Amino acid sequence: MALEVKEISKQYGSFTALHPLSFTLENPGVYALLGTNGAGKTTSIRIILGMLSRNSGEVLWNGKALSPVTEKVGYLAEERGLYPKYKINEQLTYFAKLRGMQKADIEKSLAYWFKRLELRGYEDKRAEQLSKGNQQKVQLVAALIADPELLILDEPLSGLDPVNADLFKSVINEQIEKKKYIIMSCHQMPVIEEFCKDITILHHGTAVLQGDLNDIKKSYGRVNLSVKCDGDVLPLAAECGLVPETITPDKLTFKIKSEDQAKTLLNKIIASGMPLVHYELREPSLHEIFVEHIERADKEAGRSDEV
Amino acid sequence: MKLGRDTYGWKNVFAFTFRQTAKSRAFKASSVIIIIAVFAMTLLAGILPGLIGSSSGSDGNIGGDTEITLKNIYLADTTGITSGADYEIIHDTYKVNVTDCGKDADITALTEKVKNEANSLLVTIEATDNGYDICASRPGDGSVSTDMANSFGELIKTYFDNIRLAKAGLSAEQIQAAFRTSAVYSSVAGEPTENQIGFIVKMIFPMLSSLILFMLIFIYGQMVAQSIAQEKTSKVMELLLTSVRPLAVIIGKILAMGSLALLQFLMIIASGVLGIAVSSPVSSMFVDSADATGVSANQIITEIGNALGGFSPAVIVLIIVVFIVGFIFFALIAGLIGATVSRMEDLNSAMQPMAIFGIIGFYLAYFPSSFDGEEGGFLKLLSYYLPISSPFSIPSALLTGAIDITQALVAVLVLCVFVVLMALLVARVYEQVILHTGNRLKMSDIIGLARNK
Repeated sequence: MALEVKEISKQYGSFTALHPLSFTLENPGVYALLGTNGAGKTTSIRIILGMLSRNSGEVLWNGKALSPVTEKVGYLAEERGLYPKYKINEQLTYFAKLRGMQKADIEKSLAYWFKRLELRGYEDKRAEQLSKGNQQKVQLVAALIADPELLILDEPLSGLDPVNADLFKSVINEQIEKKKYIIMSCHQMPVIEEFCKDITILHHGTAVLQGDLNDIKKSYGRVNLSVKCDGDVLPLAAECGLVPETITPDKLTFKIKSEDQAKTLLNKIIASGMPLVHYELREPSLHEIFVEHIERADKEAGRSDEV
Repeated sequence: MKLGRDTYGWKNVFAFTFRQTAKSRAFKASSVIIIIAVFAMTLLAGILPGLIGSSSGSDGNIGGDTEITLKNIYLADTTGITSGADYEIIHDTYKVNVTDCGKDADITALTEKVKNEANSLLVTIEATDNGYDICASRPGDGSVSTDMANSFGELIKTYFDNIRLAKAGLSAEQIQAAFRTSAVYSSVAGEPTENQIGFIVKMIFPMLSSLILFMLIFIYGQMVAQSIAQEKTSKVMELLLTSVRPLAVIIGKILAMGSLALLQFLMIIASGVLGIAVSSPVSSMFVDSADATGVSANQIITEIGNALGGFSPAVIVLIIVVFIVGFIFFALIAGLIGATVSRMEDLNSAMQPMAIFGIIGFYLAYFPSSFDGEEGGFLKLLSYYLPISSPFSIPSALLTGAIDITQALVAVLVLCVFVVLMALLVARVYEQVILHTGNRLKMSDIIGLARNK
């Protein structure tokens, strides 16, 4: 199975909300759709889900046009929505029936997810009586109740406390283990790094970076050096031609041109007899890559928007 | 557009919307209020004439639940016409003795006697220049009421008139024919005859039926808009649209709300029929006789039936069809309006144009229907064929016989054409409108979307 998004675009009058966008999920796993606010992530997702008409392109599932109405697709929207006055089990049953599920399967699935997401006891409560976190869990149940093959998660962890965030992460991991195809949009870069293999970064409706996250990072090399010593390391760094990017009480960080620069600084620290507390040479984080590409795109387009 | 795919899931939307709305306090409360109000109104309409009639004095009838306190009637017929008549039937029926005191009876003595004798009545018959005077004198102790004295006086008069006419040589059949009542009706030439009740029914019925239909169609249309706007603003719509197409959502909602409106419409009819049915026995509990007034519940029903000359099963079916099609027309507009708003606060202002058109439609349906004959002919025609007024005008026009079934069918077909056109517009733009956020879309935006699709 595979999901192919081919050259989809969206135009509102003279405004282009999404320039032709393509990506493929050839294997099960999590694909990240990243971008600044208004970059076109939700538009892309809505086009994939068939909610929104597109001006060009196609979305294929196993080589055929994807129809979320007939295929098993789960969606956790960024803007959460439940009927505030209706009972939780009634509305989840309704959503499951719309997905074509039979009563017995619905009851079985609901029992499992209520237990798994620690929602037991809330079945007969109205949505408005639940906390925000529990409402989010109910939303996740709505997305997963029909055991979808393709799952689209738009900001799945926003607004969750650390305990519930871990619970959601464990569910996402389960879905990965079950070989599901997942598209995730999230502003928390560490979460993306934790789950996603491939990424697309959108900015103003255009894909500014696409590919395998590890390959992208490797292409940058280990250019981030962070150091902490019990003493003033700045003169030694200056001798190596290094200017700190950030200085915090915790550490100093430098952008290095080559790994030899880092080795030279390390040798100087050891030679000086200064106690070394922390030394790390690493690839850029996704956050750094993201910011760099957005800034570069803005610069190229002559924009001065803040990221 | 593949219709099967686009409408897949409407049954689930219908079932869920119907169940949740029917379970809501608002629906339950409005249903109870409607049932009680309609039942009470029709009940009052049935018993009020009886109550008013009973309090207005003599009614010419005897009995009912009132105890007959009269024991003796002394008849002094100075004309001698009733001499030798048999009053046995009065004794057998009312346990009242009638004593014929003869044509030469001493009326002064009899008056003194009745004055001092409880439960007695003196009936005197005297010839006058113009005819006859019949006077019923009762004791002053209150043992015989005025109504009762009048009633038995009427009874003796009936005896007197019958005997008088028989003695004049009329046969029993001729006497019966002479006493048969007659009523006067007026009408516009070529139009059905009218009496007072019929006139009132023709005046009030179109207004009431138009008003009820307007309220139901409008309130439930508003509920469609509210339901869609709520799903859109609470973001439930995004979740729904992963499983069904927007068209299925609007179809399911319109049919669910339409079914609930129809249910309340039937409740109104059932409550009204029940109210009229029980009004006769209820009114008899308060007055001597429900029929005493001459305007009994049965008579009202008969008169309404006469006034609503077009009443037939085919007409009822057609009225239900008009109601459904009319509701769909307004609900499609309401659904589209509900989809254009991004905040619930905007819904009322967004619905205002539809409310104005609805009110124009209601008055267009009501006013021309109150004109006689050919008056207001153009406005009447307009009200039958304009989609904003035809759902309110056709039912009453059918029932009052203002239009026949063929004319109504043509009007329904015209309404259906407008419904199809509206459905095509909705299907064309609804998908784009439903996910629109930000400023409320205006009519020009919607037309633009329809053109650009």
